[in-house]
Amino acid sequence: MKLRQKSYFLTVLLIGAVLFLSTLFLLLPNVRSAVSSIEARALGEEKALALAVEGLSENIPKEDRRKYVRGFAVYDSGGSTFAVGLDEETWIATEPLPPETEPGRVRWLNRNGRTVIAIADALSDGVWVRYGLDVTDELKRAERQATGTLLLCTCLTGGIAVALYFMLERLNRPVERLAHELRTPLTVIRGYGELLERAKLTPEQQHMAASYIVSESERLGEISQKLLTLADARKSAFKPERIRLSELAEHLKQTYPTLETEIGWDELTADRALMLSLLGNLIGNAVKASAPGRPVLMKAAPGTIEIVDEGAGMTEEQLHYVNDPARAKNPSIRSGLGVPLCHEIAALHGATLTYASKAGEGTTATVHFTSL
Amino acid sequence: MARILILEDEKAINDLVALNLGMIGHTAVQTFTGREALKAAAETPFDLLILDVMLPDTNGFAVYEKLRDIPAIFLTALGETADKVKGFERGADDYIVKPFEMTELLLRVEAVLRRTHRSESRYRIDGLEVDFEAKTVLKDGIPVDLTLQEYALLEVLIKNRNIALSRQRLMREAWDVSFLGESRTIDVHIQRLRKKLGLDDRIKTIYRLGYRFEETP
Repeated sequence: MKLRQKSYFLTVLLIGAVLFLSTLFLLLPNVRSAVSSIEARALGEEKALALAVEGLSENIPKEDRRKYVRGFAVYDSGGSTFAVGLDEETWIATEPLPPETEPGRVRWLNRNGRTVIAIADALSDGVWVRYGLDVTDELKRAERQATGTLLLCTCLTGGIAVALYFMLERLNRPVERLAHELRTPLTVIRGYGELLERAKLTPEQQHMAASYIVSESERLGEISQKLLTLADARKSAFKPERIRLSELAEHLKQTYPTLETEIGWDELTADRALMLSLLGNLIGNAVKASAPGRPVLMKAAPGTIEIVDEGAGMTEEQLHYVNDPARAKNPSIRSGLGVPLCHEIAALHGATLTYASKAGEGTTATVHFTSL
Repeated sequence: MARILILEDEKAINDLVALNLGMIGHTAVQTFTGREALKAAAETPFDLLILDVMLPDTNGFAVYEKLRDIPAIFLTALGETADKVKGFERGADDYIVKPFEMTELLLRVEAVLRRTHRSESRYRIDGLEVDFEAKTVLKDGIPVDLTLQEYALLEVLIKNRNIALSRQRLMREAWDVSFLGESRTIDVHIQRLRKKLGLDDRIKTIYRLGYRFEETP
C-alpha cells in the first residue's frame, strides 16, 4: 500500500470521526429531552393527583372518595390517607408532611430493578403526597430509540466515509499519474540545464544537452495535451454527433502516413474530438511498435473498429495490464497516460477496448461499440 | 577512478548520468535493460551500480539481488516510498529521488565510493599531487603546507572537477557550514589555494555561480 493512499485513508477516517461525533452531539439533547419529557409527565400527573387528593381530603367523606377520583382507590392506613392508583405503574400516598421533607422534589429511584420517579408534595392541610411513577418501560423505549439513531448515524457516516474514500482516490488517480509522468522530463531538463550552466562541455555535448531539453519539453507538452483531453472527457464535454468513418480515416491518414484503411461501416455516433484522440492514440502506439515504414491497418465493420499492426507485439503480462482499465491506470505500468485515456474514452461511448497480441507478431486493438 | 555501471531505461537520463560521471573522471558503462546490465557485470568488475527501480523487463531490485557484492545507488520516483524502504532493507547503499539535482547524485556517488573504499586515493595534475588518504599535497615533489580549510576546499573542487560549484555548496561540502552568511570567505581561501599551488589556470571563477576546477584549460 502506498503511503499517499494511507493518508487518504486517515483523512477519510478523520472526516468520518468528525461526522460521527457531531451527530452524537446532535443526538445527545434529543435523549435528554426525552428524559425530561418523561419527568414533566410525572410532575403533571402528580399535580393532578395531589389536587384530586386535596379536594377529597377537605370536603368529601372518606367513603365517597373512590367515586370522585376515577381510576384510584383511596384507603385508610393507620390514620393517614393512602391513595393507590389502579394503574399498576403509578402509586400515590398521602401522609402528614414530615418537617424535613422538601416539597416538590423529584427523585429517580431504583426499586427492584424498576426505575421510578418519586415526587413528594405538600397539600394545604398539612397532608403530604408521595407520588411514584414507574418509567422503566418508557426509559427502555427511549434508550432503544437512541441506540437505533446511533446505529443509523454510524452506518450513514460509515457510508459517507467509504464513498468519500473512493471519490478521493478516483480524483487523485490522474494526479498521481501526472506526477509520475512528469518525473523523467523534469529530471532531464533540469539535469542538462545544470550541465550547460556548470560544466565545460564540448560543442557536441552542448548540442546533445540542448536537444534533450527541447525533446523533453515537447514531451511535457504532450502530457499536458493528454491531461486536457482527459479533463474534457471527465467534465463530460461530450457532444456526440454522426460522423462518417471514411472522413475520420482521411483525417487520421494525414497524421499517420503509414495508415491503411478498410472501411465497412458508414457512420457512427461519437464525440468527434474524443474519437479522433482515441483512434489517434491507438494508431500512434501501433506505429511506434512497428518497424519504420511498415503499414498499420484500420479496419471498420459495423459495431467495431480495429487497429492492426505487425509490430513488436506484447508479452502476456503487458497484455494483462493494458486490457484492464483499472490495471492500466496503475502508475507502475509504463503505458503512460495513453492507454487509460483510451479506455476512458471508449467507456464514455459505451464501447470496450480490447487488445490481442503476440510478442513478435503484432497487436490488434479492437474498439467494440456494445451499446449500438 | 571508479568504474560505474548505469542501468536506466530512459536514454535521456542514462546519458545525463553518464555525462556527469564522465565529467569528474569516472568510467561509466551504460545499460538499458536488466539483461544488458547482468551481462556487462559478468564481463568486467564494477565499483558501483546506479540503477533505476522501474525497468521494462524487470525491476532494479531483482538485478541488484544478483549483483549484491557491488555497492548500489537506486534511482527512484517521487512517492515510491515503499520502494525506498525496500531498497534499504535489501542493503542498497543509497537512493536518490527523481527529479534529482546532478551535483547531489555526484555527492552520493562519492560518499558511497569513499565508504566502500573504492574512491580515488590520489590525484595528479601538472606536478601537483593530492593524496586523499594522507590528506597531503605535493607540488613538484615538495610538500605544501595547507590549512585544514584550504585542503578541504581543494578536495571538494577536485572531486567535483569540471563542474562549477556555488560558494554556498563549497562551504557546505568542504567545511560543513551551511549558514547563508559571508560566502566571500570562500574567495579568500580560493585566492590562497591558487597562490600556494599555482592553480590560477585550474581553479576558474565562474561568473555569478562560483568556482570550477578545470582539467582541460
